[in-house]
Amino acid sequence: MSSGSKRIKFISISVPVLYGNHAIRLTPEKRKPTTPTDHTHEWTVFFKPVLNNIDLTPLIKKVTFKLHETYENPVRSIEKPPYQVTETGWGEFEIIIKIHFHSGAELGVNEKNFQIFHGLRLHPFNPQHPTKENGEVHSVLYDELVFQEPTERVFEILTRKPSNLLPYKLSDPDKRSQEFIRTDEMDELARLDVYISKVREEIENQRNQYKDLEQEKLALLQ
Amino acid sequence: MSANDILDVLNIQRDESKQPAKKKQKTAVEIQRQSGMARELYNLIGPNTPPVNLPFVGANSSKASMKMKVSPWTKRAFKPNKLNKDSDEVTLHHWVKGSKELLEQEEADKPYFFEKFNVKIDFPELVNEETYDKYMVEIKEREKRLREEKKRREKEKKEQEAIEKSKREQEAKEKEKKEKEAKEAKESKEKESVSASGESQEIEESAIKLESETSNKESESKESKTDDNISKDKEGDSSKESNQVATEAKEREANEEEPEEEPEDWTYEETQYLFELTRDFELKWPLIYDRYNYPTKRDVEDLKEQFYRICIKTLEDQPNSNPSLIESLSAYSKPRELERKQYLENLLKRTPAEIAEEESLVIEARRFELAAKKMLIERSHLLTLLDSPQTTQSVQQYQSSQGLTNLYNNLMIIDKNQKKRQLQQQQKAIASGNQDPVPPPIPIAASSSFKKDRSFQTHLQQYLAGLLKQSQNVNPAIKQESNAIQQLLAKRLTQKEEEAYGLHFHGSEKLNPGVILRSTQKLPGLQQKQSVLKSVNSVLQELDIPTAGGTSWKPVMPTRKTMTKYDELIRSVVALLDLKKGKDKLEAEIRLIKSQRGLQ
Repeated sequence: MSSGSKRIKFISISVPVLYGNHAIRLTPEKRKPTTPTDHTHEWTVFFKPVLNNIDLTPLIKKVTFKLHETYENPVRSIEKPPYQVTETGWGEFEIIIKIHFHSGAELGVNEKNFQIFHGLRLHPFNPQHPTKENGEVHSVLYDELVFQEPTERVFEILTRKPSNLLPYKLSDPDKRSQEFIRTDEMDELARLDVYISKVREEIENQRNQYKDLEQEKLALLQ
Repeated sequence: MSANDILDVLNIQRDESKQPAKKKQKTAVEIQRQSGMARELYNLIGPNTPPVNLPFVGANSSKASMKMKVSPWTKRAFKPNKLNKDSDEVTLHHWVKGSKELLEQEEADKPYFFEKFNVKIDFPELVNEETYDKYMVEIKEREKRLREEKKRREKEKKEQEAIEKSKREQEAKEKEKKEKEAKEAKESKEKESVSASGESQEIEESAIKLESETSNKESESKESKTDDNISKDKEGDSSKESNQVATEAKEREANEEEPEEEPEDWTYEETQYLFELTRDFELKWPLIYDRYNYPTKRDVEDLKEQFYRICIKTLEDQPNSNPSLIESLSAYSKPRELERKQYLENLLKRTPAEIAEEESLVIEARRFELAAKKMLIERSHLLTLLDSPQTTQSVQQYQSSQGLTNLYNNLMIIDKNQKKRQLQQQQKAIASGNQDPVPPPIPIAASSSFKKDRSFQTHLQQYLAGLLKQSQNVNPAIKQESNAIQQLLAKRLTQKEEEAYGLHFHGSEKLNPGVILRSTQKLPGLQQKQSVLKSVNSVLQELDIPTAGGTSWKPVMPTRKTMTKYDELIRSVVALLDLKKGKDKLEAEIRLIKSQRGLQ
């Protein structure tokens, strides 16, 4: 197994993931006898790879969600996908999603566990997203797990299937706020390009001004 | 066992007066004598063993010699100087082996045995007084002639110089006067010689530049010696004397010659005395000098000189003299000898500091030599380097085995592509009848993105292939682990397909091993102070770039591409900020200058 623990230098493998929460207003029908009366929303916090066919279990031992302390048993540990916790509540708070990797025995090297902070959203926050009648709120964020200099074992696991294949189309037009597609990246890139060109223009502008000022100064000194 | 023994064992008495027993005894004694062993030992070993040591005859022979007659020694008289009839007859005695009669017989015709060791150095006898006087006159004349010649030459030089000087400038009048005075008076020899040295130097400068003036003491002394040789032996022209030292030597010479004339006239008696001493002490000059007890005070050099010149004269007058001997004798030069002594004396009198300085100088010189050698070598190296073709790129990237495989792969690809292109061109040329212009070749990097050429390897694949080879080199047994890489390579992915796997080759970029979130990736542009980042955000807001109000705005979809773009954006904003800062500064300066002008 020693060879599997060797890190492959100058290489990184990224796995796109989604995390966030869905929230929906509690309807009287959905209320259970156990739910506190002041709870207004039902929400689900989750962590998953973008592609459903990607299995991260060889890498991830478990995912823990640290809820607000007022919840009973605030640290929920999920050992199998789907990594998600569904609860009811009335307020927004920050949930700490902690990803635990398998130990060195499986991955060759003990990868550090790390945390993602997610602010729970129960109320509509994005004015661009149309508010829905049933009070559905989706706060889904895109990110990538980047395995820098992966061990040969991790490399082997991650190259079994292409994990970075973002779809070009939404699986459902309604899920605009829940999914990220390749075109989003392109849009973002285009936007960034625009910003960069803007800044460049400004730099050019400022440089010209600077030159003018320099000449003015020279003229003054002479 | 003998019958006797048996009888003995059986206790049978026998008549002892019988003959066989006697015989036995006799033989035993004989053997014993022969072997020369001690009787006890012989009894132990028995007669049959070979003798351990050789029979020792000494005891017997010494006994024999003792009986011999003692050889006779005689104390007899002898005369040490038998051959030399003139010497007074001293009679000495010593012991000689042999009888008196025998010796006396021999004595008659044989010379004294040790006489041959009484050797005398062969040098010419002192001539009689008349010839001596003649010789002395001749010698004097010759020396005088030499001196005059020298003076004449000096004069000539001076005149020459004078002419030159008068030619050159009128200002030198004073000097000329002095020289004239010196010439006329001839009192101050020193002055003369000093000026002479000046002349010789001038001549040297003008005429002979061959002989180098080395500052080295030793070489100086050598040169001066050789110069002296020339001047003395051959009376060669003094214009040859190049060195100042040589002229100095000459000066000394002149100084010494002068007083020699008056007080140190060698009388015949003194010369005789000198020759006697020389004979007595067999040319051992220190001894001669030590024992020289004559009213006039002489140096060793004076003694030598006188002795040699008289010898030369006598030898010259002899019909069958050895010319080489005369030459070697005439090679002696008193001033040179004096000089040599002085040098030696100086050498002896050196202070430790001087010695140290000399040594350090020698070391320094050696160091210079070494440095020069080194420089020459380096220069030759440089020349060879300049001759060799220069590389356009650094070789470093090809120094690892991985780099080498990369290079190899690249070369293969280029080769393949070229072949393909050539084929295509040929086909095209055939199809269109050599009319179509050649399409510009597509660079490899560009073609790789959309190529269908499966033989091409991306950077990543090249790298991985190299890695695989390396690991296999290290341990060929591990196939299982490298399978993943092998499988991936077998797929022959395009760059886009690689992206689908989320694979990225960072080149030589430094990575922190471990798992990170893309959004928290440490980008170079984000390695700024918090305040800088804040102002970056404000700049972005100024430029109508949505920052979502926060200070840590990031792309909504942090992928590798977006993050690099984002990084680029941030960095350009930072650059803009720097520029703005500079501009503000400049503006402030201008304001300051303006206000100053206003005040003025």
